[in-house]
Amino acid sequence: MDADLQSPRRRYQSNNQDGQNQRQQLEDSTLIPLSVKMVLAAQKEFATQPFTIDGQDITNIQILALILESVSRGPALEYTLDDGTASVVGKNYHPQMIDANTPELIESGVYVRVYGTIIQTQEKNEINIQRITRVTNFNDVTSHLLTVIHAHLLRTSSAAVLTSQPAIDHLSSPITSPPMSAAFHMESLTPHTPNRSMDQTITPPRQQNLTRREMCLQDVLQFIQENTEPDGHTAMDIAGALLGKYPEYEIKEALTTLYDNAQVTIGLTMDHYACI
Amino acid sequence: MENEQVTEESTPRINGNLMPHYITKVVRVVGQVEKIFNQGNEPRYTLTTSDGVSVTVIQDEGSATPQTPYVEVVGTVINNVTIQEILLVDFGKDFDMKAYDQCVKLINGPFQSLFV
Repeated sequence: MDADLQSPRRRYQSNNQDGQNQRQQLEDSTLIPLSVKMVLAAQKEFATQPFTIDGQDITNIQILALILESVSRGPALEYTLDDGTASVVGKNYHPQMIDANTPELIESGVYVRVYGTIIQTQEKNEINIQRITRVTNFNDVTSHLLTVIHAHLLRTSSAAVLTSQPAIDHLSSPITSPPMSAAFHMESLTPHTPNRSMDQTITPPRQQNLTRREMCLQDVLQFIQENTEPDGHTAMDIAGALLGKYPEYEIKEALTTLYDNAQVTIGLTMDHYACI
Repeated sequence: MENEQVTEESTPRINGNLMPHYITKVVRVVGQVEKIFNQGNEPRYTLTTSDGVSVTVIQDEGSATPQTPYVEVVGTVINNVTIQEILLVDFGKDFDMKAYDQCVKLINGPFQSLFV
């Protein structure tokens, strides 16, 4: 499934109706990263409607949590999953089999990444697990938390702003697409300037009518002007310093635009941009 | 494993400097193991948290000692620098503490509503 999602041929095969349906299906199947607290808070107005979070329909989700309890109950493997925000029950009706007769029950005390859908049982949200994998690199815990924040920011940005720009194709692409994953590589979080306060909060847009692209240009230019470095800054530096507010590829686009407009200049290398 | 203590309420991810705000609460702390020792009959170990604070963890009876340099401890905050362990998860030998600490600041700051 992951290989298909990342294949450009799979996404952009044709412009005809079949191609558009495929793209829609792909976008509908986006795995939305959530915290368990958000899963429990998801609501649906009517039984036939999908769950919503931040006012948007949610279908397939992913969480990263610790298994507190695992038990085989009838046809399903049932897990109590806790990520520190809350705990939720996850039920895996189609477990991987160790052999013809033995479903693989992952033991408790293990961090796992869970893909599935939200279901409601006796008015309580649970997860219908479609896939569950062990976490082997615990930097994934940090990465997941940041993608939850990023996805939340994307959902809560003004819908009018997101739908009016050419860059929307990037913004609406699945969270699991490589550019966004790359933006949360661990090195990108390290601030370029050690003195920069890490208590800085993410500030809301300065003007409500600014597009996301314009806000990004403003923030990037402001950062470069306020943090003068002879060698300049890379997109990765700036993405980290802005605490993941924009993914790295958006920062790169902003830097290219600022350079074309002669608002910044090339620094140490072609990837470094400095104040004029 | 005392699941009831862990599941009754959320277990916020915090760093060393946030511990004074969570006395008697169950929290999650990630740290680098510095020393494993006994105090009387109590096995203990010290951790350096993601923001550089040295914390003593009183090991849960019967639980294993940390097996990797980085661990996550779920436990009750006894005082500003002591945690009573409920659950220990080994986090391996390759963990970016700096990135994690910045993440902790975000989830306890502007994005608290999503996590706490």
